[in-house]
Amino acid sequence: MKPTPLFLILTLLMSSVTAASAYTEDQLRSGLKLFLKLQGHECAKIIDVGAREEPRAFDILCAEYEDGSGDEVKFFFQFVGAGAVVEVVE
Amino acid sequence: MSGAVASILERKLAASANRRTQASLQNSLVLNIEKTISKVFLDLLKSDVQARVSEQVVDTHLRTIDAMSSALFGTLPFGDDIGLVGFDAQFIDTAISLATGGTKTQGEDRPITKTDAAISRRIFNRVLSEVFGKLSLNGNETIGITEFETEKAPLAFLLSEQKYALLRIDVVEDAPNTLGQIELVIPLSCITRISAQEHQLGSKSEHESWQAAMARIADTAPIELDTIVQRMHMSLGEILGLKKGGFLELPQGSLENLSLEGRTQNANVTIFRGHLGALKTQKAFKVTRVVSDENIQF
Repeated sequence: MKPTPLFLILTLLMSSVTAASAYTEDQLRSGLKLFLKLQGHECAKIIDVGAREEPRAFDILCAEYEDGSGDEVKFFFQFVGAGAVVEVVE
Repeated sequence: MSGAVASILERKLAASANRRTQASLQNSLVLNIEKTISKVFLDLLKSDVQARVSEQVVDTHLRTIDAMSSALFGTLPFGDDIGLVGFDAQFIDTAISLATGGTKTQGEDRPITKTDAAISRRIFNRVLSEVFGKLSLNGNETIGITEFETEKAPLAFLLSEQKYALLRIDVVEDAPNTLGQIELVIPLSCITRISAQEHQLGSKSEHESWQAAMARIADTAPIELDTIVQRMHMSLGEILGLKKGGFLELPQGSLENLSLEGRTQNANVTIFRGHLGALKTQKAFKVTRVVSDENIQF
């Protein structure tokens, strides 16, 4: 058995279910950024979001820097199961 | 001789009576039409129109396009099912074109839909029902829509100096005799407003659609998070030495420095920091800090 340098003593798996009935736009954008980050994609600033025809799917246009400058990347983003499918469109 | 004169006089009197009746009916029709036009259109459009309608000055009207749509089409379910949200710049043109025989005069890029047809029918039925209701016609009349003109001043807008679309409808009792005409006047400025409104609604709708969809998803989208109490080094021997009922001593302050982390393909991402707290009778993660560099705002 290979020694584990980091030992996780307590892991609590949580399903995050937010009960709030309304969210601010900033919260929703942060949620998308969080999912993007968990999928391994960096998005400093979401410039634009558009709903797609596919269920639970969006087009997300991201800027390289927080002030909206830099290269722009467009993601196809779809919530699937406990995660999301993210593809770089352009 | 006198009999012949009397017969001529009787015929002239009868013809005169018929003309008076016809004129009276036409006048009544025109008056009601003008009232109907002002009531149905001018009052319902957000249009700073000052127009003279049959000796009555129609003052500034400030109702909105929304009021027009809800009043005229209150029961019509605008939405995805019928493929039309609100109005667009070509709506009135399309409706008028349909009413004039289905030939569009401009804007060929937008197909005529069943919704357009339904809306145009609603417009004209609304106008015509009011006109005929007041005139109490016997139902034998036929209605023909004869022409559609633009930028030609009708009486109703004689003083307004506005460009408009004019729809002229002949009300026919026994062809070719006409009882009168309906002139539907739609200021082009209203069409411009409708276009701007449609553009605004379109942008707003698109903008809100992703937010609404995302809000619904946010209510149910699961994220697997790990609550980390302590990361520590252990030897294999210490791990093998752990038995059921044994203890692993935690460093001092471990419960004061918890983190809530999400998993990525490369490494965990810390979202919140906090400490062990209590919520009623249960232990809980009390958030003390939102990790600023993650820019998370939950």
